[in-house]
Amino acid sequence: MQSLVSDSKSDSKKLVFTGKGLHRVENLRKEIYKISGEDVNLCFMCQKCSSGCPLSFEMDLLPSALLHAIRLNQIQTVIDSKTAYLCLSCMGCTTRCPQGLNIAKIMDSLKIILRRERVQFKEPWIMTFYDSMLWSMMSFGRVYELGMLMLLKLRTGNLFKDVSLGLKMLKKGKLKLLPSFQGSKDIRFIKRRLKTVAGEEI
Amino acid sequence: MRFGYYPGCSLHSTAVEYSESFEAICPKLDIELVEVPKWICCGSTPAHSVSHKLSVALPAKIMLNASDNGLKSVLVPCASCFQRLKTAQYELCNNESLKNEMQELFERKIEYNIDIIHPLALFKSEEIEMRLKELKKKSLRGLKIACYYGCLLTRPPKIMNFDECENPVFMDNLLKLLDAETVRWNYKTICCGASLSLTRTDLVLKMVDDILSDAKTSGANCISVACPLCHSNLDTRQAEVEEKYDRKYNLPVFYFSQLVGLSLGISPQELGLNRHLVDTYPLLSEANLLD
Repeated sequence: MQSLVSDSKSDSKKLVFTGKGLHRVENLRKEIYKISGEDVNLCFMCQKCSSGCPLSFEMDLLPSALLHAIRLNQIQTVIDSKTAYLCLSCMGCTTRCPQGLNIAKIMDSLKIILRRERVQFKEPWIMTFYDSMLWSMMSFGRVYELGMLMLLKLRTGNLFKDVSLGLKMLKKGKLKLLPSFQGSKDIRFIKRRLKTVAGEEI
Repeated sequence: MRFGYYPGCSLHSTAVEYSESFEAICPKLDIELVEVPKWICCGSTPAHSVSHKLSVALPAKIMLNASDNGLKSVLVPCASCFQRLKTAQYELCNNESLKNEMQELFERKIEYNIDIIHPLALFKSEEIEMRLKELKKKSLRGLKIACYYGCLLTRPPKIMNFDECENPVFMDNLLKLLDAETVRWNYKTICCGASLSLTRTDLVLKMVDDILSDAKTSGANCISVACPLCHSNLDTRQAEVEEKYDRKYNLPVFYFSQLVGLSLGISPQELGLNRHLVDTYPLLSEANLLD
């Protein structure tokens, strides 16, 4: 355990060099607390989150282990883990945590921090999907599925995945050909104000 | 009864049969739907994965649009939208600084004291229950339904305030009222893989396979859902799952509103039952629900 802790010191420096980020994360736990209001230190490692997680079979660090890594400020371990990206926000862990931690929100905060620091994502496609969907909702006001799918395909380079499924859905009238612009004005307002008020660029 | 109605993006595209069927049953039950004017996307998973404030601002705008137009309560059929709206409302209620920030963002006082209601909660009221019993034209006998609630409808319980979160029964109760048989099974609230469907399809296929196989072994011949994403994973991905795991499920996946509509005697086309990728007609004709 001691070696892990000493690792964390060099890790915290690494982050500065690996990313092109503007901020420096010194204490991951505090940073997460700032965004989510959730204190990782409350975790007493009962592992209920991990045992109920529907995707734990695919994770390299179980949710409880990731929380522990955050607590030890092992930034490189956290960056190298795909756990946060895989989180589906199904709220199973959040519901069952005996300490009342909103673990899904902690995963979100982690994604927000890693994105802000421009760290190389461990599951890049998942984040690309989120970006494509955000583009679609932030430009039209409502999600334009067909446009979002095409953008996703262009960005991932996987042009032919799910094409036949998409065609079937088009035939059944389940994909709209044209976007709706009903809320685009409002969403542009929110985007602009988020930048001026909170300094967040979407 | 007059309610605001927030369909959300999915109900206008991939889940069009959900909105068709829901909008078809409402007039029969004396429910008047007033669509929230100029509604925008609730943000869903991408918003809260990227910015906490964005994930509150979008639902806040929807609630503002509703209250500006005199809507005291809003029906939200999509489980994801429902959860996002409820969560934003909860955070605005409990986080003063966030609320102030939102007021600064919108440059006005924000109003969020509206009732966010999921349509399933409506059927808990005795009035609607009575009306449903009166209007029932066909019985759903012959359908053995696995009610799949998915994750977001009941979780987290302190925000959703819905029902027992680990073993919810409100959908079972509604369908039993219409003479259907509902099965006891284990995957009621286990996630279907949601939005990973497009990026990590391999994981979603495994998760959907688990759900379908448990439904099948529990003796169900169809599944009932209340979430567009659950539907799209269980229905549109079912053929792929069958191919990958070399099994045959053939489990039609209905929205609960379609089943209610069938029992009220609404035609299958009107309920969008022809839009499913897993053919629903063989089972429905077996149960004498088609004519």
